[in-house]
Amino acid sequence: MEVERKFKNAFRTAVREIRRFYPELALIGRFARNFYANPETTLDIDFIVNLDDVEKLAEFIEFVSGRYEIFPKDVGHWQYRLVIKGMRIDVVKPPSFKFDEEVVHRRRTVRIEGVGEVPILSPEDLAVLYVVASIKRGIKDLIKAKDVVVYSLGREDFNEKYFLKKCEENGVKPICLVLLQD
Amino acid sequence: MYVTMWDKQSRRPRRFYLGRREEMKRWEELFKLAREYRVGKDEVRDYVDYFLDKETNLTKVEYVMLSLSLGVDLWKWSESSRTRSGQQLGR
Repeated sequence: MEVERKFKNAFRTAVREIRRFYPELALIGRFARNFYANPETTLDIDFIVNLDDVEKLAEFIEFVSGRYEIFPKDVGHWQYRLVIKGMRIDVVKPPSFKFDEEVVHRRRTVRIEGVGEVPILSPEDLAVLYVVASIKRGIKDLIKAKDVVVYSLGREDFNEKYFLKKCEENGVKPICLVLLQD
Repeated sequence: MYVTMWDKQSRRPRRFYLGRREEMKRWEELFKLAREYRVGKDEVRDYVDYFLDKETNLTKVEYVMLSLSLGVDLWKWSESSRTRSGQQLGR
């Protein structure tokens, strides 16, 4: 119970601090996947934000490094690791994924007691993100994409049309078409 | 390198560009996995019956949080046992 309270405190702090700079934040990664599929153990919490604005990123790094740990400490990267109260939080903007307004608009919200309301990428966009990641990182991410697709279809909560549209925009439609086959 | 396949959206075969020829092996691996990896109907049914919060239609929050705390605990345990075995080897 004590451990969970510590996690929730760190989690709540992370959401608050990241949101100051990046209101478009959304949960991604395995923690997000676990809301849509059979849960698997995970080590950290990942957020997607738009890191393209260099000035804003520099301000974010300066703000965070005065209070918590952050790596790396310079601009120009697509992934930053924050350590807040011992918990690892990744803030990322995967270079090959189109994180556009439509994706932000379709975010869901999860309510976690002791943390509050946290935006999460829609199941369709999370699956696309995993497919995009699999092109560089390999089959493990594709397994996660298929898990999100299959379990979300099982929950009757998956918009195939939107999924394929985003797959097309991200240049991964052939793989997505195969993922949807029975 | 291109692949031609049935596009269920446009309801016709379409030719898609994949990438450079040197990347063919990687694409083959991905297509194979996408085709062959299956989640059984029983697994999905068990998930819906046991893990799903019927109100939110998402996994129950307590299980998502449990997966995080278990993961962190396992990682800490493996880190400390690695340190211990390193110390023993150093003796």
